[in-house]
Amino acid sequence: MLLKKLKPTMNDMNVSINPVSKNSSELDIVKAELEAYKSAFSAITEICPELKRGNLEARIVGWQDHGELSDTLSDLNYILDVTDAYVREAGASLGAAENGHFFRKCLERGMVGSFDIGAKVINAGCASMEESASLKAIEEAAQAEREKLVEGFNGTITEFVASLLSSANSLNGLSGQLTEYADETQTLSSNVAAASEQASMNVQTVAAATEEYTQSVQEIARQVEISHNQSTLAASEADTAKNSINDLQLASQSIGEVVKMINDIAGQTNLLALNATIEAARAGEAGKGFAVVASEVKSLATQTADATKSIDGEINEVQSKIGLSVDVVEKVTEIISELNTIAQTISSSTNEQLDATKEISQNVQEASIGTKEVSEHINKVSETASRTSESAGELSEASQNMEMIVKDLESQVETFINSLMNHKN
Amino acid sequence: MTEKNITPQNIESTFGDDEIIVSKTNLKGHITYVNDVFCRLAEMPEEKALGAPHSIIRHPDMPRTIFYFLWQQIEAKKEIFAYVKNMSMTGKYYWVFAHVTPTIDANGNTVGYHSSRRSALPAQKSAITDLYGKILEVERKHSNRKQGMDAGVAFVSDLLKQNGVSYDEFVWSVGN
Repeated sequence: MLLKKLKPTMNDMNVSINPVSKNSSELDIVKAELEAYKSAFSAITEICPELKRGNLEARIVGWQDHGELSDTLSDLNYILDVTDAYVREAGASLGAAENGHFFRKCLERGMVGSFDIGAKVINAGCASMEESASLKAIEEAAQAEREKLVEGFNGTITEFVASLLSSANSLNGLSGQLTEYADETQTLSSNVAAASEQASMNVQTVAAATEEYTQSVQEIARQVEISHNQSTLAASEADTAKNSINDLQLASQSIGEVVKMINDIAGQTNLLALNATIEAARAGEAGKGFAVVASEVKSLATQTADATKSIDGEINEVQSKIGLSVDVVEKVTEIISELNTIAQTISSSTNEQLDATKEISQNVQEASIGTKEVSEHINKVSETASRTSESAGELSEASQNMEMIVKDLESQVETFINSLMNHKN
Repeated sequence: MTEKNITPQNIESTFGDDEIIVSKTNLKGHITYVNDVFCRLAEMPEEKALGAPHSIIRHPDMPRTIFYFLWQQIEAKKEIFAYVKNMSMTGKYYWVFAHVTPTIDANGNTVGYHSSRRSALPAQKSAITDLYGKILEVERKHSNRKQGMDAGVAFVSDLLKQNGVSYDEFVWSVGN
């Protein structure tokens, strides 16, 4: 290429030198030409070793000092300039791209032909690298985000699984406790059932007792009634007795008066007898017989007086007894009256008792119904407790199942997280 | 060698977007190589350019702050890109997107600097003209050049910080 370029220059030189040759010898002209070429060629030769070693810095300095050959030397320099520039650009842009400084492109300006094509290829390559780097950066950011998410998820799920496990555990414990409580409830409800059975029996006993008591109270009422009737009767008898005694007293007073009259009569009789005696004495013997009769009469009168005296005594005695009888009867009446009052009190009491027993009876009946209800309820409680016990058993099984599932979940999550973490590598 | 008293002209020179301007300097910034595109734009023969300080094509509209960033990078043996407004020998200006790299020998020592420049797009030129105008304004508030540059550097650093980008990211984003 160099020679090709040189040839026309040589011809140009011949053309331009030709007029000069008119005044010089052909030999001088050829010598001068030869010197020019030698000089130019030596300038080229000078830089060749450096260029051969790959030192693209080498240039022909003084290229303008070679007359008509200068252009060629300049062109040669320019070829080196462009080659040098291309090599610098290629190296610098690829180096920058390697460091991620994609803004530093391979300059296409000033590049010609193959250099231009090469620069464009480098820029296309760098653009592709930039795209990959950007994608990689995005991917890395996404991966970092994923890792962050995975770590966050891992933390959360670990916590979640742990709390789930602890929940399952405490659920298991609770179901055990529930079973215990249900069993206790069943025992207690059995006890309550027995107690309520006992209570029911007691209530029935109380009911029977109350019935008996009612009958007794009614009997008492009846007896009190009878007693009241009797005492009323007694009171009336006492009244009768009192009247009789009064009559008796009046009669005894009448007797006393009669006796007094008799006593008066006896006294008069005695006086008469005395008079008769006196008269008989006066009559002497004739009167002797009479005297005897008079004496006899006097004796009778005395006897009558004595008899009345003893009657009087008796009557007094009777009257005193009657007085005592009156007192007694009055006392009896009083007592009967008291008895009546007592009977009335008893009667009202028994009435109250009857009311009370009626109430008791009612209450007992209610209690009976109550205990029956308690009995029924406690049966239901027992049934419920039994069902609770069953449920607690199922719960325990479920919670144990849950524990197993959670453990499985834990290991699966771990595997998943590990696979995610390993994936990034 | 520096041409003095060139009056900048508001005439823009352009070059093809398939062309590159190449120049090299030694560690002192003296030109050791230029290619023909350089010579054409700078309106300067190779002979004149060789040995001249690179500032020979500096345009007065360029903020010193940009050269601060440029030197900071290449002294750290790193490449740098910068939009640069250059001036030809006749005062015309031309915008370039410069890529400057240190030339390092087999022992790892910097032995010079290499610059490849591409043409800049209208949108890039417009955006960077605005920015450089602002930086220049900041710099010119100080009579002292050093203070002016420090203020400009602080201004650009703040701007980059506000936008959350590095200088490199910023320069590649200009005009986009």
